[in-house]
Amino acid sequence: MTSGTLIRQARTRSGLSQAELSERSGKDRAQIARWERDVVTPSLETLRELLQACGFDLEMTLVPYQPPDPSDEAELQRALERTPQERLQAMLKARGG
Amino acid sequence: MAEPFDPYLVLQTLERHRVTYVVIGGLGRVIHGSTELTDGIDIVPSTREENLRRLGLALEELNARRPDGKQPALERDLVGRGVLELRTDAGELKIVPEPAGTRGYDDLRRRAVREPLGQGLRPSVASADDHARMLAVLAREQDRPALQTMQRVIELEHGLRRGLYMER
Repeated sequence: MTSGTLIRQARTRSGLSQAELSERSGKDRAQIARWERDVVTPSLETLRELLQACGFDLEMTLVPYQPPDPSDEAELQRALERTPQERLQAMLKARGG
Repeated sequence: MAEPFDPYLVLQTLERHRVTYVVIGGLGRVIHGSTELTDGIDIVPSTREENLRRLGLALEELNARRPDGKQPALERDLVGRGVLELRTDAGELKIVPEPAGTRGYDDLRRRAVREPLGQGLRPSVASADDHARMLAVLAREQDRPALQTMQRVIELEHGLRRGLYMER
């Protein structure tokens, strides 16, 4: 999950607009929009401030890293190289429809 | 033998009746790149009265039935219900007025993308971010692989976008 997804998720779950989050957090609205789109990445401290302004907190724990399965990853990469139409048709073919 | 599933027929019927909706669920994830299989379509319709009337006409044309075999009556069946599950001549169709973690159509449509699927269809599909958001809020064990796939799609798309920005 990206920091942008996390900010947008927290903001929409708390029912705030970007302007309201800007007011609550004291951060520039245009900058919030850029963070949400992952054009730029906020520092960990800023991310936490934004989430707290939405009524959430960031709980971070260390967990063992599990790299993606290479065959799953290769399959996903192939799927992403296809067009949406090709992805749908490949699924329909795979299910025998 | 697989159940009949013709997403083109369902989507064409919705388009012909000018229903406004966003595709979510398994089919939406497949369109984003997930390699899972699905037997049906999940949609989030606009719940405006006129749109529900159009959706009702499309469902009638698709011969949609509730699990009890009765025809759906949208304005009644959608009240207080998380998901309206229907069977149609073209496969399963789930109507989800307000998916978990969202505020429904108006929330999802802003980041949804019109994806070309062939046969003249360009349905509005919820973003990969919103697909991940819905799965994360549900927090169901069975959704874990789909959630991981969507998160990986977001990372890869994000990486691609970053690459484009860096090249400029």
